[in-house]
This record gives sequence, C-alpha cells and structure tokens, in this order.
Amino acid sequence: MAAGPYNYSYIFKYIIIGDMGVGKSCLLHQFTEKKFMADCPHTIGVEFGTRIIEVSGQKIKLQIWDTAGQERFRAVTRSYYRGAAGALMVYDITRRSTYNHLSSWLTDARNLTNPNTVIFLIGNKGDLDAQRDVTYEEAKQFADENGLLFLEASAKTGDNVEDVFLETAKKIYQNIQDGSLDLNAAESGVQHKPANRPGQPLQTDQPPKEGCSC
Amino acid sequence: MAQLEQFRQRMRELVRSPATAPTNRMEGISPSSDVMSISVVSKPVMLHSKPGVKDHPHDVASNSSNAINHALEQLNKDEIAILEKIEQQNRLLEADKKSLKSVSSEGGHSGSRRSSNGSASPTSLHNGTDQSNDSNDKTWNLWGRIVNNWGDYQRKNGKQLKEMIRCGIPHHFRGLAWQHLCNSHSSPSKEKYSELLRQSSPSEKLIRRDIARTYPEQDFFKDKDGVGQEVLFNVIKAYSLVDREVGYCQGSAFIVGLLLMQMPEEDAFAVFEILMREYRLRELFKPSMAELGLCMFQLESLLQDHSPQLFNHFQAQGFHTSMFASPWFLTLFATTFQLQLATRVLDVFISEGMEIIFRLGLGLLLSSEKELMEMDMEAMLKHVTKDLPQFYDKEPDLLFQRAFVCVKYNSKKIKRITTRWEKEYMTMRSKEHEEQVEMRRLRTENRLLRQRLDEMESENGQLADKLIQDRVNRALEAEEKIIMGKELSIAKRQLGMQNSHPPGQLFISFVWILMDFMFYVGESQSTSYFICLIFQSDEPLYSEAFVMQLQQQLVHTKLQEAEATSTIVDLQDKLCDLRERNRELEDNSNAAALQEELIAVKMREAESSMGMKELAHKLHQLEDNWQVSVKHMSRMATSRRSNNTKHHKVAMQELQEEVLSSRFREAKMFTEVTEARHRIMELETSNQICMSKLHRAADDSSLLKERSRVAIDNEKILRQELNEATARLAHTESKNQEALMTLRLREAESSMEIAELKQRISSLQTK
Repeated sequence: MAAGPYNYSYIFKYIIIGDMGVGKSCLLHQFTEKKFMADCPHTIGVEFGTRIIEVSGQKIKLQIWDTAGQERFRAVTRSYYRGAAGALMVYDITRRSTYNHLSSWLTDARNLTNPNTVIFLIGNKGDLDAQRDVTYEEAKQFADENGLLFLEASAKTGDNVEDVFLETAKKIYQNIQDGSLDLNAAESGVQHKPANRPGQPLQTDQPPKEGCSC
Repeated sequence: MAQLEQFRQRMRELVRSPATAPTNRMEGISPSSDVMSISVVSKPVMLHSKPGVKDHPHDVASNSSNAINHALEQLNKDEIAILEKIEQQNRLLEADKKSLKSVSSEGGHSGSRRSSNGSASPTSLHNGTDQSNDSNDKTWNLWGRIVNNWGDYQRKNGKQLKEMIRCGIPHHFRGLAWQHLCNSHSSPSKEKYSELLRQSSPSEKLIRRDIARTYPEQDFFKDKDGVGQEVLFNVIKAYSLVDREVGYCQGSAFIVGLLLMQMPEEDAFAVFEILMREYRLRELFKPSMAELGLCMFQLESLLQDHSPQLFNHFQAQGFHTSMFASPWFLTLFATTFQLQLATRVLDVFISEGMEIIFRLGLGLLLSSEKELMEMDMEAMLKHVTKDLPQFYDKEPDLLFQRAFVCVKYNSKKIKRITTRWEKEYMTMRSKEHEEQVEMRRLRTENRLLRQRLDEMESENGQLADKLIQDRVNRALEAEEKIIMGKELSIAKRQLGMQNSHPPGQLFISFVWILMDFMFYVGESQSTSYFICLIFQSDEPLYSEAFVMQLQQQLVHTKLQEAEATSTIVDLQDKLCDLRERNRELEDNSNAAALQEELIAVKMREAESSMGMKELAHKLHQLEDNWQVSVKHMSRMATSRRSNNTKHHKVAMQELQEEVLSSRFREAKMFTEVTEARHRIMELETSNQICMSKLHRAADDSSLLKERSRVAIDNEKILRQELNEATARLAHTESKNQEALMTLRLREAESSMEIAELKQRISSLQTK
C-alpha cells in the first residue's frame, strides 16, 4: 500500500447532511470502501472520507465530511457547510419524517454554503422498496422545484452511490468550466492543483481506501 | 504498514524516556500547584525505598503494580504509618529534585534519553514478570478491602486511592468502585427509576434509532431486542424523562453502555444521572452544545501553551479540534478506544472529572508531535483518529503516563481560558447573527437585482430587434424612393412628349374610330375613297367635322350622366327601403351581411349599366361619324378625283390593323356586358332572398299582432269580470250596511228595554 503519487488537479469538498439514521455514514463508506458497513456506530460530530475520481479526463480528489444527524449537532457541523462545493442531502425513502425535514436542511444548506454549491438530493435505502413511504415522483418534483439534482440510491447494494458522487463532481466541474464558480473565491470548496510539486508532502496522496474514518 | 511499524517503534522510544521528560518539565512547576507530576515521580521512591534508584525510569505497568504492592504491605501493618511514610518520602523526593535535575543536565537531552532507554527497559521487564502473579492477588485483596470500607479508605488514603484508580480498577470491583466514587448509593434517582420505565418519552424515537448503532460490535449490545439493547434503551429513556432540557443527545449512549457493562441498569442510571449533573456532561449535551465549543477552545488553548509550533501547524493546515475531538468529550473516548482502554478512561473520569479528557487528548497529540508536524490535514486526521488510538489500545499505560507527565493542567488557567472564550463566544455569536441578517438581506437584494437585470436584458433584446427592423425598413424605403424617382422622371418625359403634339393625336384617334366603323360595314372601296378624301382634304374641312363630332359626344355624355344620376337616385331609394326592411327583420346578423352584399351588388349593377350605356353611346358616335363622312363623300366625290396610289397602300395597311384592334375591344365590351348581366341576375336573386326574409318577418309580425289582439281581448274579458266583481262587492257592502243598521236599531231597542227594566227594578225597590 505504498503511497504512490496521485496526480489530481482539483480538490472538491463535500458535505453529507440529513436526519439521524438515514444512512449518511453508510453512503460515505460505500463510496470510499465499496462495501456496506452493516454495524456502523452513529456519528459523533463529523467524520471524514476521501477518494479520487475522474471527471472529463481530470483527476479530482473528493474530501467528504460526514455529519451527525441530530439537530443539536448543527452547532458543530455548520462550520463544515461553509467550504463545501457539493452538499449531499440525504433522506430515507422508508421514513416520511426524514423527507419532511428536507426543507429545513435545505434552508441550512442554502444559508450556510456559497451560492454555487451543488446540492444533490439522495433518497437512500432504495433497496427497501417494499417499505417505501416517499414516492420517487414527489421527491423528484421537490428537487425540480428547488433546483436540486436528485437520485434514489442504496448504500446497501451500492445502487447509484457512485453516480451521486460523480454527478455532483461533474456539475461542479461544469460550473468551473463555464466560469460560474470562481476558483479564487474564499470558501468555494474547490482547490486547483495545477501540477504535483515535488516539495509537497506525499501524505496528501494517500490511496482512498484508508480515507474513511467511520 | 511499514509506516505504522515505524511509528510504533518511535512511540516506544519516546515512552522509554519519561523520567527525563518530567524532570525537564518540572522546572516550571511549583510542587504545590501540580500534584500529578509529583506523585508520578514519587512512585519509584515508594517502590524501592532507595533514593538511588529514583533517577532510573520505569515502565508504567511495573510502576502501578508496585504502588499497589507497597500500599498493601503498609495496609497490613498500620495504615496511618503508611501515610506518614508516604509523606515523608514525598518530602524526600522534593529534596531530591535538584539531584534529578543535575542528572538530566549532565547527560544532555538526546544522549541521556538513548542511554537511559537501554538500561530501563530490561529492568522494568524483570520487575513486571517477577511480581505480576503475586501482585495480582494482592491487588485483588486490597481492592476488596477498599470497596468494602470505601469511606474510611478514601478519607485516610485519598491520594493513594487516586493513584490506584489511575492504574486501573480491577474489572471485578469496577461497578462498585464507580458507584462509590460518585456516591450514587444514596442517590434518590434509583427509586424513581422503576416508575420512569413506565413513562414514555418524547425522545423515544430518536433513542431507538441509535440503540442498534451503539457498540454494534459488542456481544452484549449486538442482538436486536436483546437484553443489552433493552437496558440501554431503558436507561437513556429514563434519563430523557428526568432531564427534559437535555433529553437525548447522540454520544451519551456510549457512556451509558460502558456503565451497563459493569452494573445493573438501575445502578447505571443512578451513576449516569450523577455524571451528567455533576461532571459537566449535562452542559455538553445541552441543545446549544455551547459547552462543547468551550471544551474545544480550552483544548486548543492548552495545546497552544504546550506546543505553540504544533498549534500553529494545525492552524496553518486548517486542522481544527472539532474535526476529531468531539467524540473525545461527548463519549469520553468510548468511540475512540477499544473497550478496555475506554473503561479505564472512565475509571479516571469518575475519580477526577473532565480534566482527564483534556490530559489524554493533549497527551495523544503531543506524543506524536514530531510526526504531526510533517503531515497535512488529511494525514493528521487519519493519524489522530485511527493510528494513535490503535497504538494506545495496545499500550494503555503509556497513554496515561503521557497524560499525567506531559500535560500541565492548571484550573486557574482553565478559568482564564473560559472567561476569554465566553467573551469570544458572545462576540462571535452576535457577529454571526449580524452576518446572517446581512447575508439574508444581501441575498434578497441580489435576487431582486437579478430579476431586474433579466427584465432589462429582455427589454434590451426587444429594442435591438426593433432597431434592426427599423433599419431594414428604412433601407427598403430608400430603395423604393429611388425607383419612384426614376418612374417619376420617365412619366415627366412622357408627359412632355404628349404635350408637344396634341392635335395630331386627336386626329389619329378620330381616324381610327372611323376606320373601325367602315371596316365593320365592309365597304372597302368606299373606305379607300373616304380615306384618300380625308388625307387629301384641307385642314379647315376636317376640323369642322371634328368639332361637330365632339359637340355631339358632349351632348351624349351629358344625357348619360343624367340617366346615371337618376338611376343612382333610384338605387339609393331602393337601398333606403331595403335598409328599413332589414331593420324590421329580427335576424340582425344575417341581415347585416345581406345588406352589405346588397350594397356591393347594387354598385356592380350600377357599374355594369354604366358600361352598357357607354357602349351604346360609342355606337351612336360611330353612326353619327358615318353619316357625316358619307355627306362629305357625296360632296367631295364629284369635285376631286386624283390618284395617289402610294399613300393609299400604306394607309390601307394601317387601317386594317386598327380595325382588328377595335374588333378586339368590341369583343371585350361584349364580355363585360354579359358579366354585368350575370351580376344583375345575382343581385336579383339576393334581392329575392331578402324579400322572402322580409315576408317571413312580416308574417312573424302579423302573428305577433294577432297574439296582441288576443291578449287585448283577454284583457277586455278580465276587465268585464273585474267590473262585475266590484259591482258584487258594492252590493254585498250595501247589504252589510243594512244589516248593521238593523243591528244598531235592535241594540237601541234592547237598551231601551234595559232602561225600562231598570226603572221597573228601581220602582220595585222603592216599593
């Protein structure tokens, strides 16, 4: 597991938000480790994961902050919204209450992130279709009305999990390309790394496997 | 993997030099202010009771067992004697501090560390193995006695006890020791517990969600709906009922879980309740979580004091304490370390309070200061949250040693930090609030401006379109203008040419008409004669004829005009009539259309009649001309005859052409006439339609009139009936009046009778 020098040209910061127990940490774990963590203890404060992906031939490193879902932890997590280029807003398709709370999460996301932050709505636990409590259509409509990207995913089967993270990155990259996202702006959540300078410490380039701390 | 191994080795090296480390640090501490550092160094003194050994460093494991061993020995004889001795040794130690310093300064920093490492590790190993079995038994006995007689022991040997707890309470006595430590035996909350179990809490749903996600890898809590999960839920729910403000907060379940692994749920609840209330935990879990922020700040400030360069490195890398330290405070390292170490942390926490969390946290960070200094944010995060806990799970004593030796914890300083934080927190809160308000205002403003921008852009686009169109129009107009100018000049030129010879033209046209007529008649010979006559005749001759002809034409046209005006008047009258009739018709929509059509038709009729008249007139003209020319011919025939054949031929050809063209014109005229006739027919039919409609309308009106007549008849009948009724009414009224009159008469009569009777009565009474 030698820390080979990864040449990535961008760092995108993500934040994962949503109610308690919707599967935020599991989504992150599925994305970074490509497997489902059945017995995942509940998150206290924030946790961190990372992986390098490729968008339009560009290697991009995703730094993902996974947050505690309980309302009172927003005091702790709110500082992580600020520098996020992508916000993954998760609800549980088998629990309507988690869907009903989305507007409050969205308000937080809109107020605390910068206007260019790409917000992706995720209906998790797509594998439990029999217990479904929120239809795809209404969530899609909610997403359209609020200008959000939307997919239903399953951290358990891995369905759509890659897509969610990749689509968000694509959208961010597109925003960079058409100039609507200013790389130099503070808290844009994006860092540009034109070349791998030899003086840089190599720890930055660890393989994604060891990134998840949950 | 290789990295990890390397790190471990380095850690071991570091660990082996604790004796030099504290001596270096001790310079800055006054003995009274920092008890920890003294007592740590005091252990070797007690163990060997030989002052010469104390400058040798020792492994903490042997340290702890020796301390207990020693305590046990003393306890057997006389506890008070022990205490005296300990204090004496402490004094001795203080006196020896100078010698310690001299040792460390003699060797020099790095050199002395290396050399002491070599000598320390084997001795400590020997000590550990020799005495382990023996000391385990002794420890067991001692703890048994302590637990049985807690109050006394704590009072007399407080410091000793604290030291022993730092070395870890034996598993068997843990539950009891914890309860003694926080004095939960006498807590009233135990009694409430069974009742609380019966109540339901508003936080129940939240708690249920986290129960299965608390220690999911521990057997005790693994099974869904197993005993572990049930008691965990019970205790947390009971607490959420006792403390409504805090309710349930994520993180607390791990602490409750640790308690439940040592004692029954009732006791665990009592201990947890006290930990929350008296150990600052409750503040941490409050909904605002401000206390957690304070803890982070305190930790950061302490780090800054201990190692400014590491603190600066953290700042430069954007490595904030909140990224890793929240679980340290909220779960007391229970989610950071394995169960064994986590339980030991709780031992000390219950004994000494939140201080241990700061000590452990700082110890953790400072122990790998060198490594951290070379890492970036991500690597540091991984190191602090994964590598270091993994390492210390295997070397727990090492962690405690570093926590107590390397970390200076001064309550006064903490207080100062707290007040500083409070100030900063308040200003930060207010600033944040202001920022939020400002942000919201700016956002709405931005939105409004964007809307306006969009509107203006669309307007701009429209205007640009308009401008382009206008330009195109103007170009077209200019082109047209040029064309018209050209046409105008051509027309002017033509006009000038026409004006230059008008009589000639008139003459030519006159000749054409004549020839036209003659050809029609078919007399080629006479024509030829006539033509030569014309061409040979003098000027006055044909001008006279021409004038006459024109006069006749004038008369004709005037007549036509008169006729036309009369027909127009007639038509107008008709039109008026039709309009009136139309108005009478109820079907307005159809009538209006018909009216329009009718007008158009009338117009066409008028036109066609005009065309007919013109044709007739032209015929007349030709006849007249013919007669005139015949007269001329007869007059001229005798007088002059000459042969000018050349002229003749040319004129003949021309005349033939003219005749053909006039025939065409004639045919056209005929077609026009027939067209006009058709139109007239059409008009007549439409007229008939109108008439029929008028008839229908008339019928309708007659119907209505009849109905009105019937209605009038009815009215008459009704009126008659009314009259009859009124007559009857009058009759009955008169009858009534008569009846009334008779009644009144009767009344008068009866009153008279009454009066008579009264008189009689009075007369009888008098009698």
